[in-house]
Amino acid sequence: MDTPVKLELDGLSDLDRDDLEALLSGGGAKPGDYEFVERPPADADRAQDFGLTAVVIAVLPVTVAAIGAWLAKKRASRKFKATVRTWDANGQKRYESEISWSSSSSAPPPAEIIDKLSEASKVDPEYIEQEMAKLGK
Amino acid sequence: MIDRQIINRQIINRQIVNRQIINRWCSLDSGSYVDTLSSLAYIDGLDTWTALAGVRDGSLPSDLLPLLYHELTHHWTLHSPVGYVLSIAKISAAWAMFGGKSAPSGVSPGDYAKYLAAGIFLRAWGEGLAQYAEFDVSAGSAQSQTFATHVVWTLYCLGDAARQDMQKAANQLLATARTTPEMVDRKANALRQPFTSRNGGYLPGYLAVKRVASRLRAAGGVFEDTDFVFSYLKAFVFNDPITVQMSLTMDGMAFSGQYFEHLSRRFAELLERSDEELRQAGDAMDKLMASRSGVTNDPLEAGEAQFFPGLFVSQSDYASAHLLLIQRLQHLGVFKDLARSATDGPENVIEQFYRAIANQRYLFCLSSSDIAASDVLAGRLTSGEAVVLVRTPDRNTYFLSHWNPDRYVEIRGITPFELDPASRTPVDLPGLRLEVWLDPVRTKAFVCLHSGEAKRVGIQSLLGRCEWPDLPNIMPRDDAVHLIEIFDRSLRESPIGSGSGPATSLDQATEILKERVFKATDALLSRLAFPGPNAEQIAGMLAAKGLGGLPSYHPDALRGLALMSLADSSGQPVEAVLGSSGLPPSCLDLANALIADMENLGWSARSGAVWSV
Repeated sequence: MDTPVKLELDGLSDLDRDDLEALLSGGGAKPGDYEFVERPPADADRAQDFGLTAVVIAVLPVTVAAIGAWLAKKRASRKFKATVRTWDANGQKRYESEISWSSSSSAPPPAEIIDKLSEASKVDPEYIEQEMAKLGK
Repeated sequence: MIDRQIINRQIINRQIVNRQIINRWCSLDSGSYVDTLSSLAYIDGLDTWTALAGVRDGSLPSDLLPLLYHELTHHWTLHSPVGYVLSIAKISAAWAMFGGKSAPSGVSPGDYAKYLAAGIFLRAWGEGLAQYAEFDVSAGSAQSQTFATHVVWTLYCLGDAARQDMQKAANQLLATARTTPEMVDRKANALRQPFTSRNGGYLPGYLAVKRVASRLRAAGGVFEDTDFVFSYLKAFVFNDPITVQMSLTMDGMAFSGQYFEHLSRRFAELLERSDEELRQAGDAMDKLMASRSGVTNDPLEAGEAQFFPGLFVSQSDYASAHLLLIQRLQHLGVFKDLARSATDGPENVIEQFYRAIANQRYLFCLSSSDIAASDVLAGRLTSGEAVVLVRTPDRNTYFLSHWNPDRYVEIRGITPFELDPASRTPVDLPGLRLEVWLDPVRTKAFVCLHSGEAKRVGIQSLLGRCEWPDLPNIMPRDDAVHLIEIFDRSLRESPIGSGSGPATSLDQATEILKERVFKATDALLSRLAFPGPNAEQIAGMLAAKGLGGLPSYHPDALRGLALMSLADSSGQPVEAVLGSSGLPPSCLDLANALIADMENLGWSARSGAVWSV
């Protein structure tokens, strides 16, 4: 991808990947705006086993909103853990933060997810909220 | 080469918590696993204090139950005659490659072919059974109960109740745990895995187990009990004496060629049997298992314990297989006196390594955590017994018996239980680690405090009455994990052959064989999983994305399908599970579209009342 700023969310299962892909394409993101990366296991000996997948998006309002909508949907799960990272045009890591909860009651409210994504991506939080609402319907 | 110094250093300088054992059987998307060589287990997300209190008080987290069931199933399947020969094939290849003149007779690098051929199929079948345990099994009307179910009942402290109450309570516990949104997602994700044995064979294993189980259940009688079906399908493969005989008498290439013929014939014959024949077979096995004391089936136990009637194998084959297995383990030095062999030369490092891990393979490590030295004190009770005091996270004190290699003192029975305040002294030992171990065969559990240098400091039994022999001198889990990693890497990466050509590793040398085994495994599992004429077409459609390859696929469709089948196995109305799942009601309509896709392929989602997914 030629995008100057990239955002990555890791720890996705195959089903998560399909969900996110539907939200990304449904929200208007083009195939080149995002890619799914099979995370090589920390140890090469694990190659035969399940690797988790990460999604890397070009930071655009539509892609960030899709990630937000997906995270909002995941709030029904009691346990969740993923890391959000962003890199600038020079490939320097600009932001890293974990999003996690261990019970559905401890899941962050949507506003907190929006703030975190906005902080990571510098996309206007109001825009993310609006687009998330559309995608979440 | 395996370097003795490296191994010794790793034992002494325990420093790792590495969850990544190769050739391990895992639990889909969690980090839990059981290793094939040693049966060592790791349960993801269970800290030692929770495990300790959970086993002691019957308060293990209920949402952990399906995962625990999954891993205990792996441990159960590997602690079997066929699990043993799988492990023997691997260690024999290592002996042949690294043992030099000290290698026992009859070992060959070709034994690795046996490990690959059997291991790839057994992994998929084992994953299928483990998922069947997670998603489907509940106790019913059979007289006997499976080992895994029994252990779970005991762990969740239902052991003192009457059998009927125990069944009801355990099934309720499982039903609740199976219908959480996480489990719906977990099962949906399992159905979304590729239909291939290359990634562990989760989906082909599960669908094959489900369809064979469905045939057995249709026969009725004792097979109406899914717990019994589970037990039967485990024994059919993992207690098969013919596989044991083949593996211990044939060379690697001959075995890898004939193993799949044997399996294909054996399954085909089973599926062709009449309902009456199957019911009789089931009754025979159920009666014998119920008559045995408890549910133990230690594969090294002699005599009738190894015989499983109803599996369509003669009793004499069980006896021959058992004799061969014991002789082979003797030959590899597993039963040698540990103390005597401690002074053996470096050439016996493999023997020592295998003896150490083989002697603790019947144990299941539930949890392992670091403990700060500042949280441990040594002391004495006023009765004179030496004890170890460990500070718990909530700043209480947990007492262990001071480790005594000659006898175990049950401090819980001492009255008055009073600590001599003047006896308290700091324990200045490196690398303290607290571990909870289960002996699932004898339904016992203990907690052990190790120091670095693999020494024991304190011990306390948690389940059942305990004698000294019940508390074996085990290697701490992470030391064992690390040794196995070194061993595995050395085995697979070391050059083989002595020719003048370029060096070839065992991994490279077995690439072609591995490909052949993947294909043979996939072909066998697709024949078992799908109806005859369409098996190849359906397997092809599911090869890359599992049920995600069906035309009407949508993630919520798969969740809907998972929800319907989990509601069924939990005996709960679909509407009730839907209500608590957070999923939109439309997921059921989407699931019905998937079901229609399956019907169009000639693959029914349900056979009678039984789900095939």
